Amino acid sequence: MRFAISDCRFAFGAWLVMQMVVCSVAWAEVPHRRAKRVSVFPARRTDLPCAALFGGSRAAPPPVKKVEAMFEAALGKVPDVEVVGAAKLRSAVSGGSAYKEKLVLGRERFLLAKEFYRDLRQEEAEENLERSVELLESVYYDAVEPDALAEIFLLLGVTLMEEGKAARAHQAFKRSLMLAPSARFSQGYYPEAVEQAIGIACEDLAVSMEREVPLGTVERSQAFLQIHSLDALFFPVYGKADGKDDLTIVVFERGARTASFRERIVVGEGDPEHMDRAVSRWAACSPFQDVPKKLEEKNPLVLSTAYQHMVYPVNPTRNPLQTFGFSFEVGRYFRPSFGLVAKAQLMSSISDQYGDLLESFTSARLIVGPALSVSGSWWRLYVVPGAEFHYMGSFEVSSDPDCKFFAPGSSGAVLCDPAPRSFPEEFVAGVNVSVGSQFFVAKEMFLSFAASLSTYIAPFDRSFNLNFPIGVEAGGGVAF
Amino acid sequence: MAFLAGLTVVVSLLALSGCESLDDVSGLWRTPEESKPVGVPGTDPQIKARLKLAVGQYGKDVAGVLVFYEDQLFWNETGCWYVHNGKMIGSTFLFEAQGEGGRVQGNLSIEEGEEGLILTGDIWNPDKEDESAEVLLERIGDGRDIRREEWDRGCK
Repeated sequence: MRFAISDCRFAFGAWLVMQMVVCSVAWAEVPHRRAKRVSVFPARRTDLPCAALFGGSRAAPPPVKKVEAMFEAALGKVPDVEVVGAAKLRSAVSGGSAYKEKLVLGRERFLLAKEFYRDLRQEEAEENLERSVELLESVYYDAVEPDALAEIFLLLGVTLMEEGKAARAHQAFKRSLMLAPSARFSQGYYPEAVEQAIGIACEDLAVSMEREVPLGTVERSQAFLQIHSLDALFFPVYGKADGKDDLTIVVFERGARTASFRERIVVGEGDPEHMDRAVSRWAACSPFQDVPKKLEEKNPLVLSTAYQHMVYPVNPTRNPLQTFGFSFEVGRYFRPSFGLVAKAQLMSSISDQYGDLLESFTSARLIVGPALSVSGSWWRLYVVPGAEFHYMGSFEVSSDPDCKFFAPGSSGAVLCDPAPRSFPEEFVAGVNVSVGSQFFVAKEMFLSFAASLSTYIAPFDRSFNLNFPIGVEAGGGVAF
Repeated sequence: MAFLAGLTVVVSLLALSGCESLDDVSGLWRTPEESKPVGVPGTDPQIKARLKLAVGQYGKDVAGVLVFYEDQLFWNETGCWYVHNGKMIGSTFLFEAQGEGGRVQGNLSIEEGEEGLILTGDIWNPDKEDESAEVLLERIGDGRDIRREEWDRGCK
């Protein structure tokens, strides 16, 4: 089989025509929104009356856990919303690098403060409680163990009351009750003044609960969102209105100074439709950021052609044997960084420096394999580890100049001694690895450059005489 | 796209064309028409002839034929010898030609002539070193001409 230069010209012309035809395919970009990462905090309860804070009967706890689960389920149905489960979020918070260290130090300060308090050394107790709160809040202990932090705030409030700092004590009690709204206390355990202060804080909280920032301050809430790569936090506040259970959803979003969404819904008979509607309304009002789709998402199908030059370092001629030809490639990306690629290549040999290759030979190969890629808005780098199946045409090799000059069968050919070595047609198979790049010069058109290396392992008797071809390619294509 | 087209054209042209240079003796050479026939050393009896040299160079190795003509039209062939041990060293072509009726050695250099490449130097009888002649050949064809005129068939 011979592959003449004129055939190459024809192939090049055909390649240009194909490029123009494929480029005329219409292309439309589908809008793409960046998914929002949201999480639901444990529901807070305001349905228990403050009058029942000290002693008395206590209502059965409402299905708070179920409410959280229902919210997560409702959020999970919203397109472009990624729900970070409460358990996963707690694990992320408690898995932080400084968490354990700060927890030990914070708890240590709390225990020390308790000792100081027992010794009636309120000033030192206050100092250690403040430090304990500072340490524990720095690692968002309130998102993992709100009841434990509530206990510290409670003792801080009691200490401040005994120091006569009623205003600050009110804030501490309020924070404590906000962290643990279901907390109830034995009547008479605290002095009457403290009980009164706790009761006032409870009444105050019942009024302001919906306006409270659940993590204490806006700054802390925003920092929490940023640290845990969240876009929104849902705070369900469980309450009672007109004798019916109701739920107020307060949503804090990244970058907002106040709650970006607030809605009261009736939670009745376990009907999740209310939650679905509320979540849909939030999704409709919440701004979603449009992000450009990755190349592979926009244009998952890739067609390209390229000029290819290849060198066989292992060959029967005295100098590296070279081929040139064209490569035709089809690729389909299934994920932004993963696809499948098939390449068909047709090549013809180039005369070697000494003309040892007595006649040009044609070869064709098929390469299939996965494509692993990274890409930006206008570029893509990829690697394709593939399997190669290569047909090589027959050829003859000699280092005797008489064999090269005189035509076979002519009278001069008698000088050709030893006779040329003949290499029959052969199928070989092996492994091919190619690395390449594509640069988009128009919406769906790109220039491509690639390099590849192959090694042949079959036939297993290693009878092949050409091996380890190194190829370079330059071409272009379309993605759609 | 233009880059690709350019690259393809360059590669195609390189593949198509033989590059003429002073260190490539490949081609068809002959005694210029205006030159007189030379006495060919190594022939017995010594013949006066015009020469045609058809050679191909492969790396440093050279193969081909040296043909003698008694007429100016390069029609009446009086001898055809095969080139043996042809070597190119720089722009110098060293060879030995042997055939029916004798043998000759040569040391010819490729130079730029007024109208193209010329091959000039001495040929001599290796058995009688004083038997030599100056030779001047002009290039009249390339590898394609050699095949077209069937010089690659060898001596008849």
